[in-house]
Formats: sequence, structure tokens, C-alpha cells
Amino acid sequence: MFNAITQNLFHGASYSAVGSFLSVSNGSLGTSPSSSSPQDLRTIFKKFDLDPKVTRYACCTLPTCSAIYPPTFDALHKTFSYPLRCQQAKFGKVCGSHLVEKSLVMNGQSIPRPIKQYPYRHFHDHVGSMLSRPGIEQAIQSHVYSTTYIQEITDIMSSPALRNLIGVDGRPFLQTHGTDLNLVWSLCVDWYNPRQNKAAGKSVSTGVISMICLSLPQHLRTREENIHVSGVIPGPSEPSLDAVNHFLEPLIDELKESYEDGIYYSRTYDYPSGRSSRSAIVPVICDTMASKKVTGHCGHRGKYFCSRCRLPRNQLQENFDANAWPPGLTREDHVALADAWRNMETLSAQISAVKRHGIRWSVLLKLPYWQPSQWTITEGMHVLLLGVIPRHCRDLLGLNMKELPSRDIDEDDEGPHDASMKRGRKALQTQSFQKLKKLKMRVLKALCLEMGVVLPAPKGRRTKLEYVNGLLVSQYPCFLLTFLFSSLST
Amino acid sequence: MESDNSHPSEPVENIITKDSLHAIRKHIEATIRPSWQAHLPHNFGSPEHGKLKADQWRTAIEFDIPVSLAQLLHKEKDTISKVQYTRLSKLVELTFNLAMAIAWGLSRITSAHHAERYMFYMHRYLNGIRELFPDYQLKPNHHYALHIPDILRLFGPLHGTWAFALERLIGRLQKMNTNFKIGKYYQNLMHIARELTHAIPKGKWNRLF
Repeated sequence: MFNAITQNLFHGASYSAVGSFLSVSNGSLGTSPSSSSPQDLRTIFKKFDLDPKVTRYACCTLPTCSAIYPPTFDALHKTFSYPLRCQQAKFGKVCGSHLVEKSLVMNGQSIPRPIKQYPYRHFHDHVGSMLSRPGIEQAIQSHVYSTTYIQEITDIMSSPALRNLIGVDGRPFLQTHGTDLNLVWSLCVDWYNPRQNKAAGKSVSTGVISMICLSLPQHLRTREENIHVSGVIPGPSEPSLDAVNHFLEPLIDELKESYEDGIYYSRTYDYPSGRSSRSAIVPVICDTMASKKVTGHCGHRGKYFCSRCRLPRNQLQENFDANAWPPGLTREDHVALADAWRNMETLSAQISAVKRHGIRWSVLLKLPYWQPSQWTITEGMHVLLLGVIPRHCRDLLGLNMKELPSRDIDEDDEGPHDASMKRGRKALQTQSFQKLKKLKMRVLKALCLEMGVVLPAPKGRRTKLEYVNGLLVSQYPCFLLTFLFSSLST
Repeated sequence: MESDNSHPSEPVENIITKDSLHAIRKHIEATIRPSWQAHLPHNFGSPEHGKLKADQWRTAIEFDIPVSLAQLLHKEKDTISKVQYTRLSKLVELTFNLAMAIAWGLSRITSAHHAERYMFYMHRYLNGIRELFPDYQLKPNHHYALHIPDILRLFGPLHGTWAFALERLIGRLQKMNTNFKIGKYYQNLMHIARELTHAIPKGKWNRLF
């Protein structure tokens, strides 16, 4: 069994390869498998307790509701069971949509299983597994202490936002004493299309909630094994507005516990007798749409379109002076508005409240230290690299071939690419009809010019076929016969 | 050029033509780049190359477009009218302002000075848009871009707070095998988490335990 794990982890053997290896080594190929030795790698992972700790919540299928329900262990049948219907009450009305379907049969009994699942990986489990790897604790220690605040900032760890973060005891969060380890994280949420943005595919969107540990030095921070993938929000459509809070709740609850009480890890790599650790979220890093949803601000079409300041939308065009903008809400004001929004009794009241002041309740407000306005990042990559620059090139410079005016009368005067011309000449030499047909129109045009082929006057727009035929016939007259035959037969 | 319909009689708006784009493409093709820099597609500006990556846009504004436009300005000096020339030079200046702002903003080291310089060029850029394209409706992104100095002061360099790592993770998740039942039995987080935590670079196998 150990051999199988080593093969999979260190030598990159696939599940199926390990499976066949197992069955050979068990001597059960062709005979009935013995019950004692596992046949599948997943069983071995379970036996060695290598699996990440994941809870599967049942999720309401309505995107507007999206409430999640943890499983309860049923001792009688030794299975997990979920409530049958969604009990989420909103505006005095219970949602009541089905949560489970009966599809799994075990021991002659059908066991209900959730229609839509939300898998959540426990945060403490990730921190534990991270701290038990060699080198991680040392890297954190040296990174946190080497970066002190100076005039020039080279990394987020030495930035004022993190240095001024206050712990639960009133002291700076990052100045720890004893064996305590305090970690700072950033929360990233985004939606993506699991079907890889293919043009013909139906657009579905699945969300991913992940956390990046900022306490790690830069080269370790974004390594896959160090990113905490907390949950995958099930599709096919995004949860609407405040419904996303349900998915974040388990994570935020664990983080609150971690910040307030600290979590004791009974054994880490550097501290065999264990150490306690606290974690805090500071920046929320998402693109504009996701960030509005997660932090509970109204969308970028609303009156208060910016989460960092209270500039009304109608002043967007002329007010560029950052000092003249009304500053963003303080945490107290934000919480007051958010709580008022949450306690409203009708949907229309909530909608009009958002129109008025642009604040929704967000589960992040459960964290006592979290600053809703300050710590919502206007994300550099999306705003500058994918926002302002493409706008400049497309809208202002107008660098778009189709819409650009041309100064000369003849369009497409530029010759085709050298490589494609070479390909064209080769195709003509080898007399390959198929290859010639695959060439672009302008390559064919250029080839005709090059070979001095004169085509008969066109009836309307010339087709590719006319060019190809003309080229082939002019160079190799024997093709005339084949074309004649093919036209006769059709 | 959606904005400039206000003066249809003046031909000044049609400064950047297909020829200019062809020139830019020729420059892109002729440029020899360091291997770490994202390359631009040779047919830049046509819909065939699809969406550009963030890194490619960065290359475009940091090097290709300003340099090509400056060459264009020099080349066209004698062929276009004076009105057109002033407008073209203003456009080039606008582009340079944006390029400078980006250069200060994306610096690996930041300070109050970096934030101040970024703001200076961003202001010049936005005021330039107001002057050259009075009808252009600024987007919320232009406002968010003015908040970047806050981020530089509070959180340090942008590479600490940008979403490249997240996008890479998404790329990884998209490539993962699924059962194509979206939302129904999309329960492979266990699988994802296992793959990610057990992702061991070759030769560094002791990372796991």
C-alpha cells in the first residue's frame, strides 16, 4: 500500500496505473479480489489519513436562496443524512425547495443524497497540513521579521495595512510572543466557466473561494500546495447577490474562531510539542463584480459605485481630485446600514435601501476587525491591465482593424504573412487541392498575382474554389480534365 | 472612435488609420523580446487573435504602442496637415501619460513618491481624455484606477494584491477532469484539494511530509 502511494505522489503514476499495480501485487488478477487489501488508491489515502478534511453541504438549488445544510451522521445506517427540504426563511416565507433525491442504494435501502453539493475544505485542516511541512514555519518567521516598515515597500507584509492590524489583545497582530504564530491571509473569490470558455459551449459558472497566505514569502505564497481552496460554489448559475454569504459562512466562522481564540495545533514540524496560531483576512482580492458581491456593496451601476469612496456616479466624469471625494464609510456606519438592510421585512424595502445607500450585509462583517471600505481592493490587474489599457487602445486609439478608416482606396493592401505564402507555394508544388483550399483568401490572391494567373471575370464575389481551380489549371493543365469530369458528374 | 461625431466636417479624427495599425504590426513582428516578456499576436487589432491576456496588454502599453506611435508621428510629419499633426501628437502624448502611470503603478517597489507620480500621470491622462475626446464617457474603471495610489500606500506594490495567482488557479481548475454535471455532482473538491496539496514539484518530494 505504501508503495502505491509513493508511486502516485512522487513518480506521478495515475490512479488507474496504481489500481492495476495494486491488483497485480495483491495477486487477485483474474480471481476474486480479497477483501482485506484495498483495490483503489482512494481507499489507501483514507487509510493513511492523507485526505483533506472536507464537509459536503447540501445546497439549495435556487440561486436566490442557496442556503447550505451540513450533513448529520445517522448512526443507524452509518450514513450521512440531510434535511429533505430547504428551511431557509426569508421575508417570512420558507423556501421549501427539494434538497435531496433518492439515488444511492446501499444495503438494499435507498439513501437520499443532495441534488446540489457544496464541498467545503476546513481552514484549520489546511493550516495544520501547511505547518507540518518542513521549511514553512521558518520561511514565515524570517519573512515576517525581515520586513519592517520603511519608506519603500517591497512586499505587502511590510505595508501599513498589515503592520497596523490590531490583534484581539490590543497589540499589533503581527508582533507575536512566545511560540504563537499569527498569519495574514487574503480572500479571493471568482467565478469561472468550467467548460473552458469555448465559443459554442453553454455558459455556466462555478465559483471558487480561495485564500492566499500573505505571511509566506513571495515565492512560496502562490504555490499550489499553499493556496487554500476553501470551496467550490456549485453552478450552473452564480448565487444571486447576498446568497453568496451562505457559502462563505463556514470559512468566516472558522476564521473568527481562529482570530479570537487561536487554534492549537498539537504538533507542527518545528514545534513537536505544538503551538497555537491565529489567522486574519485583510484584503479581499476579486474582480469588480465578485468583489461587490462578496463585500456587500452595490454594483458598479449603482449610485455609490465605488467601494472605497462615496463619490456619486454622476460625478464620475469630472471629479478626478482624490482629496475632494467623500471618504468611504467607517466600519460603524457600514455595519449600521448593513444591519438595517438585513432586518428589513420585504424585498422591495431592501432594494430601495440599496438604491439609497448602496450597502448590503456581508458575512465578512462577522469578523470584528474587518474594514469594509479600506480592505476592498480595486484590483490592479483587472482595473489597469484589463480595464483602462484595453479601453485606451480600442476606444480612444481605435486600434481595431475592421472599424479603422483607411486612407487608401484599396483595402487589404498588406501582403500576407511570409510563412503562409511559403505554405501556399509548397501546396501548389505538391498539387494538393485540399491544402490549397485551406489557405486564406488573400494568400490565394497573392499567389495568383505571383504566378501571373488571369482568372475569368467573376459573376459576383469570387470564391476560394475559383482561385484554387485557376491556380491548379494554369500550372498543371492536366487538372482541367479532372475538373471537367467532376463538374459533369455533379 | 465612437466619440468624435461632433465635428464631422473636420477630418482630424481619422489620424490613426489602417496603415498605422499595419505599421504597429510590423513593429511587433520586428521586435526581438526577452523570453520572459509576453508576446503580442502578429495580427494585433483583429478579432481573430481572441482576448489578449493581462500580461500581453502590459507589454503593449509598456513598449509596443508608445514606441510605434512615436515612430508614426515622426514618419507622418510631412504627409499630414498641421491640424492633424497636432492632434496626433496629442494622442501620442496621451498614450505616453498612460504608459508612465502604468510604469509607476506596477513598480516592484512602492513609496509615497511612487503613489504621487502615478497620480500625477493618471490625472494628466484623464484630463487629456477630457480635452481630446469631450464626448467620451469615462468608465468606473477609470475611477477605480484613481484609487490605485491608496492601495500603493496601504498595501504596497500591486503584485501583493493582484489576482494573477487566482487566475492561474482557475486555469488549473478548468483543466481538471469533471463529470460534466455542473452543480449536480460536481463534488470533486476532495479531488482538487488532494491534487493541490499533494502537488509536488519533481525533486522536491520531501515537501509533503
